[in-house]
Amino acid sequence: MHLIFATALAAEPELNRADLGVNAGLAATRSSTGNHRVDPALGLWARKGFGAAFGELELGFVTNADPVPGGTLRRNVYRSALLVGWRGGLRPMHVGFAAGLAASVVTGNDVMALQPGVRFRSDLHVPVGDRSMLVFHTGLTSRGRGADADVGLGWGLRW
Amino acid sequence: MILLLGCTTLHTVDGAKTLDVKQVQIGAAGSIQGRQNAASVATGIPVAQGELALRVGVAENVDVGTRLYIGGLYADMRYRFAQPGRWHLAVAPGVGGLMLPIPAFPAGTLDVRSPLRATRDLSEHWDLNLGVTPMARRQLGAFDTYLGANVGLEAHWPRFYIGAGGDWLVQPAYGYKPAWVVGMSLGFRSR
Repeated sequence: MHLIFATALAAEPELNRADLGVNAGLAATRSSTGNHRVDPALGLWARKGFGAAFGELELGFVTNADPVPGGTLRRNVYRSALLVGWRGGLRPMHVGFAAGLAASVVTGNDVMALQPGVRFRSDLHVPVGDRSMLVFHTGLTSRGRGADADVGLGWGLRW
Repeated sequence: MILLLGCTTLHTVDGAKTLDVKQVQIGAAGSIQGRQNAASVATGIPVAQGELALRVGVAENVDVGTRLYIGGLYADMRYRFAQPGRWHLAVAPGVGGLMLPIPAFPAGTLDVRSPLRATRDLSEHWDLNLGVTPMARRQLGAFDTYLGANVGLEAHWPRFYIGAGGDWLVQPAYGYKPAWVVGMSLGFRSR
């Protein structure tokens, strides 16, 4: 797989540079009642490219309100992830796949929990001008005995 | 009646080979889908689904398409991002869902899918299609996640193709028992 992407990107040395981006979207966080409710999500990512490969630090936030009998369970999920991945394409538009370790801090209703897990993400980078890009992503993160899913649209800058 | 049919479709009808620029493909597909909707899950009886599909090549290695099926509509963009040897690899992010409100789903459903597809040239006229489909479906205020896989064979000539295949999707909301699809598709392609 590395050879596939390395071949596709052989003429694109700028991918050794770094990217920084933000995104907004929807996340389905697994609650204690087992629901996957839809909530708005925000994210921030910083990526360093090494040709077709890259390393990335990703931060995410989602606030979840789960109606239960007698009230509402309100939780905030702060997610961080260290990912490694590969990207490539036959056009300036690139496809990326990344996987790595994740740690989620869940707060709410006087409880705080640290839940380690793993994260997988695929994304589509559409260049806009020389230094910026539009990014569509889908991600899946394990957390405790459940998993959260997220989709989002973001903006990135390369320097 | 629509509960006896598909509501939406989980059938994968395309591989990873994109159409040439301005090339048009018009097709139809039919499938049997088990555990595909609430009625099928409750009764164990598969439901039927039929659809019409249109695709157009818009740039080299990129095409767009739409599928009209009983109960809804789906649209996607397919991008072939690698072509190593006899393999073709593509992603095809898309959005669709159940557009006709029914009592069980008065607000319809909305799918966001981001499939990864691979096609292997078996011969001049035969292709093997494989795929993995992460999918998020908003229904009844919740966001169900699916992870699907598909395998299929397609025979094609310059203007005509016919294919058959199956899909399996894990649905956490229904206790991890997979939904399944067996279907066929056929259609015409312009030069």
